[in-house]
Amino acid sequence: MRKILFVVYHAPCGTIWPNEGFRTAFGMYGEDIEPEVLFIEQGVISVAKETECSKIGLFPLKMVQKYIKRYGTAVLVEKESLNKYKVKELDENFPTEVISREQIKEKIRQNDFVIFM
Amino acid sequence: MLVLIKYGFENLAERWKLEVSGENDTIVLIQNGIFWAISQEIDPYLNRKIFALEPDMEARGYSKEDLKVPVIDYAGLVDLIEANPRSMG
Repeated sequence: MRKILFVVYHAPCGTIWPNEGFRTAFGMYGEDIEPEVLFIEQGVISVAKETECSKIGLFPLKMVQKYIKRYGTAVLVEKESLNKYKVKELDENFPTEVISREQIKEKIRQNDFVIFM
Repeated sequence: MLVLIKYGFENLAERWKLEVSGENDTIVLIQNGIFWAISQEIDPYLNRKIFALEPDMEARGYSKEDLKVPVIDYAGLVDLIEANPRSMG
């Protein structure tokens, strides 16, 4: 089975990219491709506990959590970005795995395609 | 792995891509990624195989002499895509 890694670097609340990252990843199951979603840079705000775009009337991201659980989609977050953007606590409803940039270098080579969004 | 860079050095994701790339990877600068090739920003990554897409270079008014990396044409890019089944872009 081929593997694909979606790397989301845009912040939520004003851009649709974090939602698109998950939407596109879920679509991969229909193609028998195993997706993973990695958040880096401002994208890590997406999985912070206190982030809720609907507070300002924008499209929420938390709606995808039930599908992540259903499909068992891997959600990765870069440790260095969490520190950079001072994310104190992750939303436990996102089953995230925090990995370092060094570990990401290995992870990238385990995937056939890496797509930034 | 083939790494495609299409935005300039102000883009965090492109910088991140270059940083996680390895010495065995092939990097192609396309579209506004050309701006890396005229800047010292590319210097830390010159130990990789880096090319700039010539039509995108010419479209932005540069010549080969302005660039720190060699150029390839579209046929060369297709060859690299064929030679690298894995890609990051």
